[in-house]
Amino acid sequence: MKKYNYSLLLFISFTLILQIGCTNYPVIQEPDVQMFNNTVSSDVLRDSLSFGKLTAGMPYFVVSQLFKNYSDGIKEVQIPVATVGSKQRLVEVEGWGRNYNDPNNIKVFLDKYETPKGNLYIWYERPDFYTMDVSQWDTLCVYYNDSVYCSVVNYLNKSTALTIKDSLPNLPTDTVFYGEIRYKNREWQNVTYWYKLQILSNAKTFKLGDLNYELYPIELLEFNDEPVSSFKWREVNKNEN
Amino acid sequence: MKIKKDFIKGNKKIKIISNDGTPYPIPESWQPVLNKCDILVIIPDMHIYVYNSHLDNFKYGADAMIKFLNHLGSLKEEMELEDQTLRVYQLGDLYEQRFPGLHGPNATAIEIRMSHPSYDQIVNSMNSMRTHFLYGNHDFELRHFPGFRFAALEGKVYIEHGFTPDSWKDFSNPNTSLWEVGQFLFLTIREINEFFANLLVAANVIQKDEFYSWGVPSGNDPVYDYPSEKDYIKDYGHCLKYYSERMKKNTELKDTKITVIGHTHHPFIKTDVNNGKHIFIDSGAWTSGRSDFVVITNEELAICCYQR
Repeated sequence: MKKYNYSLLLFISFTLILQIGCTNYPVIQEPDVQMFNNTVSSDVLRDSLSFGKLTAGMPYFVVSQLFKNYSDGIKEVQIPVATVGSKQRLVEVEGWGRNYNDPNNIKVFLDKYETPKGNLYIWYERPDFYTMDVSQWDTLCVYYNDSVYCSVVNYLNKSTALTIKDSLPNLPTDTVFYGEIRYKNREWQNVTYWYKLQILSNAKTFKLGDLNYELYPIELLEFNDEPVSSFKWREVNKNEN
Repeated sequence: MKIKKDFIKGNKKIKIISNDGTPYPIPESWQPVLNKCDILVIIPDMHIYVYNSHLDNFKYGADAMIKFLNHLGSLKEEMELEDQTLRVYQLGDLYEQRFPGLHGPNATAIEIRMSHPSYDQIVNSMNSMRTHFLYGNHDFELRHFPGFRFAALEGKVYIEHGFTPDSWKDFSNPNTSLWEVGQFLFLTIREINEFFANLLVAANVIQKDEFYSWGVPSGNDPVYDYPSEKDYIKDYGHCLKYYSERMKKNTELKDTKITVIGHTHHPFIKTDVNNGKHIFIDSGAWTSGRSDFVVITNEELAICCYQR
């Protein structure tokens, strides 16, 4: 009987240790504030970052910095999906049971992370002026040498170029600027997604700069199956400790 | 339009490697050779593969490609302001999809593109310039998509990847009967290759991300040379012969004056094809250290490289 009790005790202890081991999530890292400030000039987004909040509009590299210590077992990243909000992976399969998705049309990606407080889903998208709903009479603001130059959008040349109403001859053509679009009819949406712009020699047309997924804007956050406006990583870390 | 004045525009990284550094003038009787654009740029084989893999050798030329695409993007926008058109083609073998995949037997375009920010940026830049994509034998899967074509005709310029002249013995022509068998064999060899690469990493013989692909140059050192005609004819004379005959005999292509292919990774121009009636261009490659591309205007043509 005594031998049986010892075995039971040993089994329970082992199970408890295993449970503790499994629920011990890695700490969420602080992102590189300097890198963020060098990329994004929006005060609203900078404030969110300093308060420990991940919000829509931030570039994707913040996410990869936050979760850089997460092992592969509790995260799944860069899942290609059809639309923002979709959790179904777009699959490409060759041979038997072939299933194709045009790689050039995949623009939305999803990251999934398990945190001590629940599952976090983050959607981010390759942006252009069409998908981000930019239109005539919205305002483009460009940051250069501690000044902000704003002008109304006159027309969209195409998905990656637009022309403003006033010419801005003070801006050099060989420089990449941070820029924001302020929507005319959506005052609540004061933070938008444009990080890199170049002006052409006519001083009126802006071309979207080269970008990669590190700069894709976050479109939507979902925490424990509920859409959320922000994810407060410091609170999650605090609860874990 | 002139290549040096209107395309290179003082960019010191762009060098003309064909015809001793001078653009070749297009005969006046052929002009205009382009009917839908003013400058045609053709980017040959890139073979982009998963960035961290031992089998990927595009990574050494990725930065140069980003800078080159930035040059093209700015030039295209400036030309559009003057109602002129720059058209860009990617000649096939954009991706290396005949190597092992991360989630399946073959690598997919999306997992290659998302394997590194630079690769995503390159594909995005090409898309934003409305690049016309052809498919090659290493990304034959792309034939399923409406944006990818086998060949294109731009005025009097015919453009194709260039695998058509290859026979079954080359295992590089998807139209031959033993293609799938050959590809299965090559995929198995690459899987074994990767297994040994991982063993060498475990034994500290090579670094975790060091290039280790059997029979493929690393691309670590840039290659800007222009191989001799003798070498080209020796190794790829069958391509020259095939396309020369085709321009001569094919009635559907009777207006074609210039044929541009890739596939061989060997830049070459022959301007006196069929007694001077046609021009043949092999555009080279942007992989294994090479960074070649072709520029054609209504007045001139050249093979150039973009120096790192």
